[in-house]
Amino acid sequence: MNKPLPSTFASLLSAALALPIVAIPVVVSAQTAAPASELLPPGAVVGLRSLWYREDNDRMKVTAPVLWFKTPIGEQWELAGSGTVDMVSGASPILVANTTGKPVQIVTGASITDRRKAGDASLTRKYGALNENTLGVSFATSNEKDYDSNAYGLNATFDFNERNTTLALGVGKRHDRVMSVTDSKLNAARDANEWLVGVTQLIDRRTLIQSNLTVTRLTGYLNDPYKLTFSLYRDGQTPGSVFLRDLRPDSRAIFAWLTRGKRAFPELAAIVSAEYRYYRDDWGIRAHTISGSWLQTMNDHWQIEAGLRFYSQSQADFYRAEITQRPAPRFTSSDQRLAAYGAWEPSLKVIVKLTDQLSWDVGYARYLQRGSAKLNGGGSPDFEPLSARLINSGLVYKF
Amino acid sequence: MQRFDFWFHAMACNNTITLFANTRAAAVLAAEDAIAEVRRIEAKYSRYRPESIVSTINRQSGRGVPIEIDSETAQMLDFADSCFVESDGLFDITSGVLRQVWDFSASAPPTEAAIATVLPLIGWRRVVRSHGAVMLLDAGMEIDFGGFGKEYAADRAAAVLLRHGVQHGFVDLGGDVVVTGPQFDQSPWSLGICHPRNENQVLATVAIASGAVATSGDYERYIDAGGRRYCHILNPITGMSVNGLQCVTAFAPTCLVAGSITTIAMLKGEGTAGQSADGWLNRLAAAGVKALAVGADGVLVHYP
Repeated sequence: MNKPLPSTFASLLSAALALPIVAIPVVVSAQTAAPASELLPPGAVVGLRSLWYREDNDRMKVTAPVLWFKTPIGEQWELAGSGTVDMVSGASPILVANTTGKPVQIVTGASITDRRKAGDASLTRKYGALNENTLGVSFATSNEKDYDSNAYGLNATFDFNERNTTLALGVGKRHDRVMSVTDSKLNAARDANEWLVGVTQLIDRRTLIQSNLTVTRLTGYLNDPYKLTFSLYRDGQTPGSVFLRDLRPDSRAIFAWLTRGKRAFPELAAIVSAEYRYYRDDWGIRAHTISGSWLQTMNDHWQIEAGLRFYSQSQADFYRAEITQRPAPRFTSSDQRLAAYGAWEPSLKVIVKLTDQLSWDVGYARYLQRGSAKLNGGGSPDFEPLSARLINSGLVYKF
Repeated sequence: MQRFDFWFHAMACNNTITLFANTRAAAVLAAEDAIAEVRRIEAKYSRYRPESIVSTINRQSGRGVPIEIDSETAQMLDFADSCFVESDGLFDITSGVLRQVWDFSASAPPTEAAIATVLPLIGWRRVVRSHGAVMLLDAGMEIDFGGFGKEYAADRAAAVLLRHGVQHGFVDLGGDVVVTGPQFDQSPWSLGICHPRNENQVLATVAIASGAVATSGDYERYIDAGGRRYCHILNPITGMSVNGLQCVTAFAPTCLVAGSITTIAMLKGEGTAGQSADGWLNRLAAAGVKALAVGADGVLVHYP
């Protein structure tokens, strides 16, 4: 039944040309397939993300649905933003007491239920001959019963070396107010200044390395207004007041250096990432974070990511769960976050592309904080182990 | 010479006319004439307009009354006949009655029983044409030019532009494109072809200096049910939605021809041996017709 097709084409063309139309010779010089990302600016994206955090003893459950969006405006501008209302409930450990002979965390007080409102927005402009540079401003605000925060940022990126190298610079400023539901007189300032410089280098089409230095300086009221240390000397005397308030220096300088690498293995349909972060501050804390992940594409719809993170820090100079010095030292805090400890966090994430536009992901992580997990030993002996589960789920819709 | 762009809505699509002219007045004159021509064709052949010639013919189906038609309509029907013959009966302008049972806003395709109720109304052979008149033999039969009306309008709009001396410009009626000539500096126009599974993505870009382009795809209207996509392109013999190609783009000297090639390719789809879209496009490629298609497997194929 196959007719010689040249006659088919001729017959369609002659039938068409019986109509009052014009035949225009086809001159097509090139047909090149090109990935869209290089040709069209990506469209707007909206997403919803929630986090459930639950410690094994039921302390602190957090549910934070965050609604976020990102949209190009024309060819050169991009607007992004997010908003959230957090529900924080549960009791917070506020007292470390050694009345039983050994310092223990005591959970006291009514359970805390707080609602935190937070939002942020950023506006970025691309410029340069190839739109290769960006300049952006950002603003973030959050508000809760006992804490207000407003932050501003300026950031810039410059691409050079045929766009294989990106230099990023940023400055940020944060003004916080610290209040207390148990001390109505407290309304103190806590400020932060942050500087960032980073380089991202594309090694080849599959490999990327990034290194960022961040310097942060915090000033003002840096104490935890809820934290008290109840400590008796061995002879039954008390170090001044029975309850020692959390008192820390009023400034903190932080230096952090993050280096991460990413490599795609197309033959395995996998992307492997590794990251190391060095941290030190002038409170005496030195910390290391090492993490790695493997993202495996199963098919057009499914991706699985497995990750492992290890964290270790030394303690702050003034951290003590128990006061033994006489007289009591000027600065003292029993906040576990300033103790020497280590933590492991294995995680697993599944990403499902439901349609071309809608994708859903859910991640599960186990968080295990232990004094004994500190690198090279020497974890705070009184460290209360903390185990938690984190479930993180999000929907992303691309227009 | 300066570039002017015009946007307008017609035939349920967003359309553009882009052209180079010496003055804004000349550009507007040419574009307005071309747009008026598109609107004339829409009014004359739309099945949604009761006063259109298509509605008039359809209303009289089965009454044994020949409807007088003008030469343009007669030539449109001649072209429809060529499409029918060259597609071995797959491109049939009487298949529009299938829309009575196919509701693409529904969640499932129609049942076979429902399709069987309208299949007897399909049949180009029962459209009788003679001496400037046409008649649909069975009551309930319908013809429509939805399969190539927009392509014809693009060709006509381009003819109007050429009459105005527009040597550097193009008409784009919702993806049916006719390029009268390259840009003023002789560089070709860059044409992006939409990805069939992601409308924000470009499947391919084509540098085109002149000629016509048409695209058909399974992504315009469809039902996704039971792991299968039922697209709006329907086989007139089985009444079922076709499968096999996600999209196809063809280049030809007129948009009518480019459009009929893509529609027939979609209709042939997987086909049986030698009757598939791939076979059809390969044989047309031998006659010099360029095309590109994305098969069911998502792989882009260039012809030739």
